[in-house]
Amino acid sequence: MQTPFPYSIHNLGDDALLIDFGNQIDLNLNAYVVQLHEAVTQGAIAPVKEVVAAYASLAVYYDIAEAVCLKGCAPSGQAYVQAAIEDIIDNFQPSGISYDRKLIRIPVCYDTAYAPDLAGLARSSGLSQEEVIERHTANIYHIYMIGFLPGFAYMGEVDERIATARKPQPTVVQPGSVGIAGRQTGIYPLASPGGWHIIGRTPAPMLQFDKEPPCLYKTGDRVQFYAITPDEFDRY
Amino acid sequence: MSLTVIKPGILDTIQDAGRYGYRGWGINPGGVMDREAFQIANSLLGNRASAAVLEMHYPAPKLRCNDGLVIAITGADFVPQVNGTSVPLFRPIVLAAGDMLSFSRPRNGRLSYMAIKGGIGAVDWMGSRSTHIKLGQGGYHGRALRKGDELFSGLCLAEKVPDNKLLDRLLPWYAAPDQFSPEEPILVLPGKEWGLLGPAAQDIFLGSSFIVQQYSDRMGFTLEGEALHISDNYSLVSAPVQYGTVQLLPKGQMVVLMADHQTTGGYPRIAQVIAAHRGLLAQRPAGASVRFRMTDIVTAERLWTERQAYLRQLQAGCLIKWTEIQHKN
Repeated sequence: MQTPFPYSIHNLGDDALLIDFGNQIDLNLNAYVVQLHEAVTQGAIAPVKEVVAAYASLAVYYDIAEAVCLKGCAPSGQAYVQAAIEDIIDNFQPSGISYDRKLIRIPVCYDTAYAPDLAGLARSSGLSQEEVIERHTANIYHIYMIGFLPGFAYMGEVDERIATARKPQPTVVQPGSVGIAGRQTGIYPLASPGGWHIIGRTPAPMLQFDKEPPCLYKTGDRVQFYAITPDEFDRY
Repeated sequence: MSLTVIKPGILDTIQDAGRYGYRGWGINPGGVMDREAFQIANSLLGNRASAAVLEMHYPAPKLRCNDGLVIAITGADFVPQVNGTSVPLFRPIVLAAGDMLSFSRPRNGRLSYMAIKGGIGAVDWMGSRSTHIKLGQGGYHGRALRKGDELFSGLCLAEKVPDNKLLDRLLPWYAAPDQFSPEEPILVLPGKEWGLLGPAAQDIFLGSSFIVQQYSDRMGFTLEGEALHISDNYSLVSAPVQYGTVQLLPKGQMVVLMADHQTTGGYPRIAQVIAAHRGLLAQRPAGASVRFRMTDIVTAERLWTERQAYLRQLQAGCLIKWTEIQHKN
């Protein structure tokens, strides 16, 4: 059956496979990948331990010994797992972008003390700081993937007028910092070196170590930011 | 039943096989860098395969035993000593109250593993006792060991240690794994971007020797050597990676992702170290040389399953020995 997006499969070692849909950031493609992630997970291929979705790829991590044990006539355990994955992909019917996804509202303080790059971004966009904040809070963002740091969600699409290429040199970023790079926005759950333009900070923890799963959101969820005052930030 | 850290090593952390199921949130499995050494250590003591161990770099810690314990040391040879007398690796060692365990020099390798009979008591976070240092979760309160820390065994040891002679200290069985092979080439599979390396660069990758850089760590090993270049000016969207992914950095240097790697990356993936050789690579210390050799999936799977079969036999054999010993007393 014709799949909506062509793909290729590569090894990610002898215990993982990467299903690749091309080198692009595209909302429709990612929505498909997120749904496919669900389908492959539900597909319960015996040796598979974990499935991870990214912008335009899906990684499947599996147990080598189990795959070899189950391979039957397949030339290798990996070939066995690959065939099972291809079977799922080729028979998968996506339900379009309107599938049920959680919307999470995240408070952000855009005050200068928490927004070292807001003034610079406003200047280079030819907007006032208020307009930048307005455009940042207006959009509902889609989480394309989580990676780089635990709980770091890559979200998009950011309004064209406030999109800015990432900084050439990374700087130290405080935990909770909310940033923009290109047409993506994201939150640093931990202090880290970072190249994104920091326009605010959230007092809400993205990681919750005593919860299962230990993160406020997951890939495919939707996020909207809302502005809070420095007082509300302190009292959170 | 415990050991106290008299002097911490440079990086001692509690690890086990790692935590699976959380890569989707950017939390990578972590766990031991050298899985074989970990499995052998637990097998020697009749521990469950999932028991947590102590992973040590050199300089390694000095530990005092507070009461009767049995330990086993595997992985790199840091010349372990009990009260100043050398003890062998790959063999169960009985310690009595007051015994001091120390490591005098790095004869080979990068990582030494110490298991305690009964496993090491530690904080379980998301299904594993591995230490997630960045998040400060799991293992010994999410951090490396410090002076004064106490490692508890999960088991109560009834046997009395007869006397202080070295021979009585060693239980009568041991593992004889392959000798440390510092020259053995590391087997890899071609990465997704392997084809983007021209034949000249591919020849360099497979034909030359690279050196493990000083600041290589549990997140990744940086390799120094002849630069490799990719034909196009390549910019990749972030994608998931794996322990053993060989990334090509913009200036032509390579980084091999190790146990604590970030879950995703955007650099070209030119090769993937096979599972059976990740521990072999992990044991290369700073300054050691690394050569790569391309292999195929069938060979990779055979090497893994053969090693696992040997390790299962070892585990079964040691369990029988423990049963015999416990019945004798």
